[in-house]
Amino acid sequence: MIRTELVKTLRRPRTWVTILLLNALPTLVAVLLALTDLGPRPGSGPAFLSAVLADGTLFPLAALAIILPLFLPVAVAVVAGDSVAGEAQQGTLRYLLVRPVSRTRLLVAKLVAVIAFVLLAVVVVAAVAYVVGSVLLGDQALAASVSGTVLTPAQVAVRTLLAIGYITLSMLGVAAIALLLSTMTDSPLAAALGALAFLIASSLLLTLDAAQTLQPYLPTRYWLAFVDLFRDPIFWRDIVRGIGLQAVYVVVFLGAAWANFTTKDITS
Amino acid sequence: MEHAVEVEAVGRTFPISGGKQLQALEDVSFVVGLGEVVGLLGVNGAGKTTLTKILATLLLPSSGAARVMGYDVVADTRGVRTSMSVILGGDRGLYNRISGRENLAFFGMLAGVSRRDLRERIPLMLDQVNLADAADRRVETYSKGMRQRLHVAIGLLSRPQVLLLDEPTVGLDPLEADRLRETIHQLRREGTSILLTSHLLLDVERLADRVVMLDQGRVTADLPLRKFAGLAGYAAVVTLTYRGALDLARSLPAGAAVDRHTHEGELSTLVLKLREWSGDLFGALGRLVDDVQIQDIDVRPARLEEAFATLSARRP
Amino acid sequence: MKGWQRWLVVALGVLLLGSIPPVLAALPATESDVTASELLASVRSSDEVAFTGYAETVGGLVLPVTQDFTDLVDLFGERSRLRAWWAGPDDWRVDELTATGETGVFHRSGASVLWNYEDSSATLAADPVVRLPRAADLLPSALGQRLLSEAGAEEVSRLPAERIAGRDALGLRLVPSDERTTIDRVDVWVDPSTGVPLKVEVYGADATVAAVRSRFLEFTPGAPDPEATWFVTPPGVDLSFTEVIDVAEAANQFAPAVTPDELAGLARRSGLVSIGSLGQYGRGVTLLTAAAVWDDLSRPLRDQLEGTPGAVIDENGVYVSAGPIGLLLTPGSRERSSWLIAGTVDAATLAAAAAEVRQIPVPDR
Repeated sequence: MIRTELVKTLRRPRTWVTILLLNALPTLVAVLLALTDLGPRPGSGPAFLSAVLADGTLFPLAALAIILPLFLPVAVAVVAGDSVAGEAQQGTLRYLLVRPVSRTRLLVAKLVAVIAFVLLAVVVVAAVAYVVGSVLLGDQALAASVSGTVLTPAQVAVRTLLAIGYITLSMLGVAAIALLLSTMTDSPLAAALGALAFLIASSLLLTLDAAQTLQPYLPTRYWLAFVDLFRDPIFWRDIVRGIGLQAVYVVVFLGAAWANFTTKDITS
Repeated sequence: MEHAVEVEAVGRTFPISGGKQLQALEDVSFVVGLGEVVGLLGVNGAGKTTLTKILATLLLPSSGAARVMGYDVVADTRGVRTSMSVILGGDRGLYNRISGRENLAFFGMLAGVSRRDLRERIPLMLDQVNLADAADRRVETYSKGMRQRLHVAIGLLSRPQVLLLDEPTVGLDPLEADRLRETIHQLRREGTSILLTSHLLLDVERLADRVVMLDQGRVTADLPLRKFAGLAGYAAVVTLTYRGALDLARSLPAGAAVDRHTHEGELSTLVLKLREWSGDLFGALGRLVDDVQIQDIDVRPARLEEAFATLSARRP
Repeated sequence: MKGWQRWLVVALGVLLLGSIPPVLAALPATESDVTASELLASVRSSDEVAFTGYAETVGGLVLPVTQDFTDLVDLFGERSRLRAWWAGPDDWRVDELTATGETGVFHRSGASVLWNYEDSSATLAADPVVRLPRAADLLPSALGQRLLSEAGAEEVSRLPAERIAGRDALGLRLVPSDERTTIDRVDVWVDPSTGVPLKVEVYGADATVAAVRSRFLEFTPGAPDPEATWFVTPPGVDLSFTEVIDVAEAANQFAPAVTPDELAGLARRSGLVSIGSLGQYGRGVTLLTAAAVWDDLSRPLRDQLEGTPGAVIDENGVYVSAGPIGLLLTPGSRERSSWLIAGTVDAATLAAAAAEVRQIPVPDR
């Protein structure tokens, strides 16, 4: 089941178009940086963007920071929102559900496929950004950590891989929400927009002091914690909390999707 | 276990606006014996699709119980799904972006067919439903009939003991429909138990051993085919538009009756009801119209409500 | 399983997961019968204690000041996240974390390296005699030690213990006896084994919300990794040197007039070089700072202060208060420098100080 879902994801042209689009903005930013040599003002641009002017090998991180707040979650919401509602719309859902595969397994397979898509997208973005960054912006033997210490290329590579893993896990919450909505409606668009509305609300509440008690529970709360991987020593506190929070979101929303979907009437 | 499908006092309600409940099925009971082909007949809205979906584990019954090969459709969905294939009518429900062969492989995998069996059976199935040439084309290029045949191939790939067919011939041209009926016929010879729903008399007459009639969510008749055929009024409706003169009194073949005969200027329209769907009768009809200039001819199987005006009389 | 049973399982799961943080927070803290003055003594002797920690500070003050003081505005008006490696008063590092970068202070033997990731800059500076407060000063340990350093035994009392950073912290309340102060009370929770303050809350008079709140969320006693406090200039970054790290030091070095030894009845604080033009007065949490400032600095500040809601303008100049902090800027002109007086003292004390400093002759430009 999981394998067939993965194969389906990989064979969909949409998967690759989305990944292509995700690469477009970081690449454009790299070209502009290379041409103008103008970094963002401190505290205004995405993380790592000022640092890549000195060292192009950090560009994968800047690229991830560029797509993390909006483009990546939009892609995740669209893919996850489509996962069940899309099958319903296409008329394939009922044919899937008359097969001897439990609905719970179908949900898990769908979530795994979405996360595999995220991982693929993030890895491709990072790889493209590495090539683009080294070619356009040049590289350096040693890089500075956020804390001002020296990182060897091996350390940068390991921490970049950790960041890729962390960003992938960070998308679990959105994916689970979109998946739940996807089981509640036959419209993939409605499911994706619903998940995005949740995200926008979360981002807004993060900026509001009055919402402080809610903030530790917001799905976007720890997204930027991947920056903490490049502090020295690595600051694990928010990363651990971020992973835990995403796990809670998966448990709660996948659980709700399971409760809603396993006995749901399939009328489409 | 002597029955492939058992339906016991099944009821199903749907909530509708205003807090009311729509009674789609009420106290429905019947069985399909092992190796038997049962036709489930009813007009649109009679509850056929609801019943099919309950048996297919897509809907839950509100009351009563149903079993497929002894497996309960609520408690033992896996057993039901393993022993039965469901072919719902229509041409949707396929992955359009991939080929017919890949659709077969994908759904076969879900049905638990081993990879070796898949390799072996897929070409056979493609041959059987006459899709071998188109197998590697994307499904979006298929005609309606081809898609429906692909559905049949998918349904049969797992060699189910029970087959649930919902309106299998709907939307097919007569030739395609006949080809499909031939396929089902073959399955019946191989001993597959089949529950077939249709609102077309012809499907049932050709394929079923027994007929269950459903009307407004209730079973109104459960008869062997022979007895059922006796009740039936006619099997086909022929509409003929022509110029010229016809002597109906002299040359109308036996088994045909005039329903309507109107004239409008030079054009005349004749609607005939045929008692059976046979080559002989169609031949006789052909000879009848030899002398006139045919403008248009339309032959269609009788719909259930036409054949069974009495059984459906309760409908508003 | 029926539909409602599934939903019940999910609801119970949500309830269980959601109750973990409140339950952890409600874990009771172990009390101790240490007296307030014993606790005060242990805090005072805790500045040599080595530790590693993570703290968050929240300031509730909106300071009506200009660009030269933006760091100060952030410090007292925003939430800061601080990581600290503390080997001792002469060997420590405090990083202030931001979403996309970090500013760090690596301190060793009388000098600091100030690291700013987003500027990609590293600046070495000798510790100045006076300077503006910075993030490291708000670390609960530093803030608590400083605020309690001059407290009298009769000013402190015990508060119930709380669990802070996973440790049982003993509460201590300071209510300053000096009538002139605007500080109502300072609440400090102290790690009993080391005496290090783990949480500090400063309340102004009649305030329900703390003006400054600082607490450790992670605290590990013991010497930090020696490498953690050692700054090595990263590649592509030039280490620069500066003589003047902020406007306070600039005022001290370049101000046009010298401050008196006593102001508004408050004595000059010892330990400062007496020729400094910037004077600090008072004791404990009753503090006053005065400096003569040139027109180029005072003019934009005066415009800002006069535009602040609640500003009082009289013959002594313009007076503004932000929580417990009062600011007063005396009149001046292009030719004549003015006095900036600030502190945790009431308006009357500030006015008295203003009247005194205005008598001090300042040179015309």
